Amino acid sequence: MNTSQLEFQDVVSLTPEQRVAEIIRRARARYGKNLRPFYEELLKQQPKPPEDRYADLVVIAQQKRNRD
Amino acid sequence: MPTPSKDFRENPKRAIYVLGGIDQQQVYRITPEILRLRAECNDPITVYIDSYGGETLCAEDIRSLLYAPDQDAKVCRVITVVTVAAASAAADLLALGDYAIAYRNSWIHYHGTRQTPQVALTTEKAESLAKSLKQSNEQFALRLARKAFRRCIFHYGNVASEFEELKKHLAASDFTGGDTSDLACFAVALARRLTPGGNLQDVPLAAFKRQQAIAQLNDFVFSKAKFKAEDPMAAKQAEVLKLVLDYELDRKQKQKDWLLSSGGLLEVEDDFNLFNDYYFGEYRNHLAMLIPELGDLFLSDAELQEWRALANANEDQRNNWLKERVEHRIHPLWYFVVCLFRLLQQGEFSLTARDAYWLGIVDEVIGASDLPTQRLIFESQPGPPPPAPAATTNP
Repeated sequence: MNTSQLEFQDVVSLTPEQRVAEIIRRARARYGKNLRPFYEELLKQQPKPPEDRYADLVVIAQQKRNRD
Repeated sequence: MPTPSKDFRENPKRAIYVLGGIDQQQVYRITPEILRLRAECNDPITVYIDSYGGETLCAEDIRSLLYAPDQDAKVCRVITVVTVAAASAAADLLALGDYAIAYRNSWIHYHGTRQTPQVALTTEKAESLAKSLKQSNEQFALRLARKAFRRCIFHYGNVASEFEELKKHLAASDFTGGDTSDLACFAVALARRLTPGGNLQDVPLAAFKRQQAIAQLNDFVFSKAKFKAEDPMAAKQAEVLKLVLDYELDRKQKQKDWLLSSGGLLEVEDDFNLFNDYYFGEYRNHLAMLIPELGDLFLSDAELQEWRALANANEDQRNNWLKERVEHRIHPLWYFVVCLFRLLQQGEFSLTARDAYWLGIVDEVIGASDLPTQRLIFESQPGPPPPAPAATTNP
């Protein structure tokens, strides 16, 4: 179990939002007010998608939409 | 590796599609689909959105149907997803999802409530229409702010590491009028993450300035007020009005041409309304609900220990203890978020998916691997333990 796994087996009956709040509560007890290290550890587990090399065209389309 | 959770994931197999204008025909088209999905099971329903909006009442009909309880009082969780565009009423529908997702290149457009009058306008009708639009804007802003508040608390923990550095910059600049509070830092940290060049970066700063204005007014009024909580409201308001007048006179001492008769009275009225809103506005009712739900996240480390020791106290005692400690901390942040959404309801704002994330309109931008999400927090935790084997008894 890595450090971002905060042993919350006892709160499984809570709603998804309550569970997230409970995990944040426990993360705060461990990391203090600044939760960035906790989030960074989680982000390492997030797969990275390929870059959209044509994203600039989306911006142009959006600007055109706004003008219209 | 995170374990996928259906509570935080889009699912085209249990989905409805809000594509195009939101009108009565759209409601008729998707009603049978919603009813079928609700009857099938209580798993989340995904609402895919690509819409420029339409009639707010029809959007409300769709939302009400989605959240209608079944005969066993069960309500499906709703995951909203903007694929291309969500504007106006569709943007509200998106933000009000239990978990709101934006595709990487989607965009979201916000503006205030609009109404095309069906009859010729007179002065009286125009006034009544203006009042009704203002009321609608306020109700929508409050509802959205309540949804966004949880998302903003999440961002607060994420950007708090920048506060120390920001404080140094803010102390030396006029960006927040010399204010270096955590809330000032949070407003600036949000503004820095929004798309530059348009009017969007001004929104968190303007919301902060409203919060700052009320803080200064409060300090003045409460340092001089003599009213007691049990005094009649009319007497309290009269005293506040007199103090607001003193406050403006005090601030305008150097402006020789400042007069009540040339615009000053309007400023006094605005200040009075601001004070009244802060202490007695409708949004205060929501604050009372937020404290038991999220208040302990605002406790200091020492207070958190005390709070844990109260675990066995009765609910009223715990709530009162918590309210005493955190109301003055949670109230400014809540007012700031309310002001954010009031401002979004007043202008025209085109947001990228990332802008929507930072303003608390969506929880996740698919493909933005640098933005932490509640899904990631939830899915990274180990699942519930397997049920214990049934105890065997001797024959």
